[in-house]
Amino acid sequence: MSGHLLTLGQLGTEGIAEMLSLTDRFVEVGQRPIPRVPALRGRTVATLFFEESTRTRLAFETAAKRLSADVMTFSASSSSLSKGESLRDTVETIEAMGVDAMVVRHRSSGVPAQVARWVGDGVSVLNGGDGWHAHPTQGLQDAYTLWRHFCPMPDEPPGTALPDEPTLSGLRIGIVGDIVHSRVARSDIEAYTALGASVVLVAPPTLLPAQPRDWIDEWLAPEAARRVEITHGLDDVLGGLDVVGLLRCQRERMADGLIGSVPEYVARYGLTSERAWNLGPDAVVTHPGPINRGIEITGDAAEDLAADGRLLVTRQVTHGVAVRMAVLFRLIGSGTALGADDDD
Amino acid sequence: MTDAATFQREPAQTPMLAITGGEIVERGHRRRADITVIDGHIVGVDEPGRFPRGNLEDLDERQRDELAAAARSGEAVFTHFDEIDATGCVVTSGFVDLCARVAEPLSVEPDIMQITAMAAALGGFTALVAQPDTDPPLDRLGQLAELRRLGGSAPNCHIVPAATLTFERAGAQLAPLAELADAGVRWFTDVGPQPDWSLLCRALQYAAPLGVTVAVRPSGTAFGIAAPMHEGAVSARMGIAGEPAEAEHVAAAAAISAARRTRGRLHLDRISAAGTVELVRAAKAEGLDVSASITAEHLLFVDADAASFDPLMRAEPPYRAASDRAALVAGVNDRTIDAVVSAHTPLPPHDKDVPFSEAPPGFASLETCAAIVLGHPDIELDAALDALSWRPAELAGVTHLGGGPIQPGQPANLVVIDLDRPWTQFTREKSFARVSPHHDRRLNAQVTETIIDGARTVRSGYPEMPDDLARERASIHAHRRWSRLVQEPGA
Repeated sequence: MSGHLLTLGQLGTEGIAEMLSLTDRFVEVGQRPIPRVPALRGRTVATLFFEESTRTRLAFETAAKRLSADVMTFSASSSSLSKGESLRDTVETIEAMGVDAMVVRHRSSGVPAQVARWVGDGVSVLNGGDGWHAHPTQGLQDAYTLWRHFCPMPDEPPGTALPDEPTLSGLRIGIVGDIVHSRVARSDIEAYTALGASVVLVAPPTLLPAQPRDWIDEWLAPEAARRVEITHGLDDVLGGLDVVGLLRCQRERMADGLIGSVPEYVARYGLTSERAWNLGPDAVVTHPGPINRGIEITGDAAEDLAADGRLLVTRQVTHGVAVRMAVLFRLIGSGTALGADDDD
Repeated sequence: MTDAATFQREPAQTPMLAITGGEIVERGHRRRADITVIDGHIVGVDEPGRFPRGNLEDLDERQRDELAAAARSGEAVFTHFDEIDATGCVVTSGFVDLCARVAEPLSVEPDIMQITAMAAALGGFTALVAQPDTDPPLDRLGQLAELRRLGGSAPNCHIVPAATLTFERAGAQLAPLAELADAGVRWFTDVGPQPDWSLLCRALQYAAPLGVTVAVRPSGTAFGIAAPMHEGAVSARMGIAGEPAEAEHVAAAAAISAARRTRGRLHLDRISAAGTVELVRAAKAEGLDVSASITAEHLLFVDADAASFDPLMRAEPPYRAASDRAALVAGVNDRTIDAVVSAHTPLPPHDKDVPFSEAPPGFASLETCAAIVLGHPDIELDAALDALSWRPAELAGVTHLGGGPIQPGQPANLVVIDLDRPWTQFTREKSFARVSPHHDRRLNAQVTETIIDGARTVRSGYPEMPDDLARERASIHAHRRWSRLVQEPGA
């Protein structure tokens, strides 16, 4: 199969569920002594990161290598973009070198969609995060992490009973913080609602789109949109949440006049020790990282929740590699069995 | 209005031209008649079938002698004749574009101007108000003279100069408006928002006795809101910053209040929001000298058309909601909106090969502008012609260059339109536009003939152009040069 992954909306519920099921198999691969399979041997994956990133790039490159693909790395700092070459020139040059997939990250929304229009049929474009628009693999890894937390794989200790079909049905997931500027929020909303969860968006009005209800209603299917609630008060909803999904809050937002001050933001939207105490006993906390300690979550709260195994950040990162293996395998794999790599 | 505002033109090359069989449409009335043109002027508008016969009393002595000589030589009359069979077509006065970018005044490559003029002729425009946002901007007499010289070298369209409102387009100090007005400039604009309200008041006050128009584009940029999309559900989904429609309302209201205070002549350039149309309607009802324009594409596109992040859908102002588009259509029909402009911006293709939000707005739109309006299912023909031709000609004071009455004595700046001749830019094979969202859009109305001062510049839908221009058109390098010549819009 050749195709692109630009947003999770394009996958739909079935596509997302299929990707999560596939991720299970790659989590298993990751636990082998030699975590490598020959599935993409001979394939080339180029990572085109026009915006700096450590986690996403490493996750994609590790995923590609574990699938035995060749990896070609492009980063803006080493590029000729500064020499007046257009974005399209760069993409066409890399395509001409012969690649099967391009992972594109850019600070401007929509660039992966543009790249997908420019490249030929033989190249799959994977959105590695574009502007405020979408970060589909992050959405998948967050959804997978929650699914496998509330419904662990059989060889792990049993947890809350959920059927072993990928689903988040019955969960109430809060997404807290700078929603308007967050591609992670947009992809998480698509993933969580597609898998049946209820989503509560918690943010001050200035960190939400201007007419948030219209945005949700015109974007999501009616049945999914009905499961999205929007509120400005974290404390009103905190006790009823199964998951608190914290978003990064960048200090620049204060300079933009969108929030009054950092202490004010922390007082209203930060996960303080007191709020952590008020969480339900089984509630968990996610964060796409890197965490601004003292803003999204206070140091004490982070420590306490981590000690209880309820801060899922590290697990999100671990699953990030498996999710990206699943995505690469699905988009450019030829269906080779996932046996051990004989060469290694 | 004297010819001082425009260029001295070469006499028309076709001594005698007849347009027969068409329906002549003028404001408020239609008739079937044949038009006879001699030496660039209309000499006869007669009942159908009476051609060939100009009204001899309208000819000067030389023309009469020439005609007589031609008649004496027998066949000569016919060798001098050129006839356009306009049967089934609309014949009307040429279109006038109040907002197009041509080239910079000090350009050493006049062929750029020629290409723009040819594209204008293909679109039915016989006069363009050339925007002064060039580098350097047109803010003094020397540059005006240079633009006129270059405009004179582009015989396919009348290039009408506009000058900046402020010195160096910097928004601080007024340009020499009176001096430029004396030299014939009728249109002053910094091509964009005018954030300093007191400066706008001064400009309107100063310009009022000169009888010239001050044009501003009401935009959120005036309040530091610069965004590539309309603010709404679509921009929220795309993760692109949005400019609220209210930002345009506020800027328009500020400009209108300046017009009210000064009794100056204000033009709101390229409005896009329903609320702004309402403000213009109210200002007109109040008796203020306020006019407004929109681009043709705003009658076609809404914000959702940009959802694929296609940089060709990056517009200034941004495409807005369906309700805004409906208000613009209604505004054209009830004449609240005075003019539809092309906002022609010739860009080389690679300028659009960048992220959506970084792409310069605009594209080559002269060829398609009129066809979009004329073929719009909800716009009456009279309203379309008012917005393309008659009203902008009045506003720019150029009714002798386009949009004027069709009567003996008038310079022959005319178009013939086939309202039912489907075409696409892609198949037309004579398009100058490389960067356009309309390449494969089926357009129903086509300008089949454009006549500039009696000369046919578009013939049966095909351009009449000199060989060097034909070569130029074939060369993609021309477009690369444009990039250096046309200053980035919005800069």
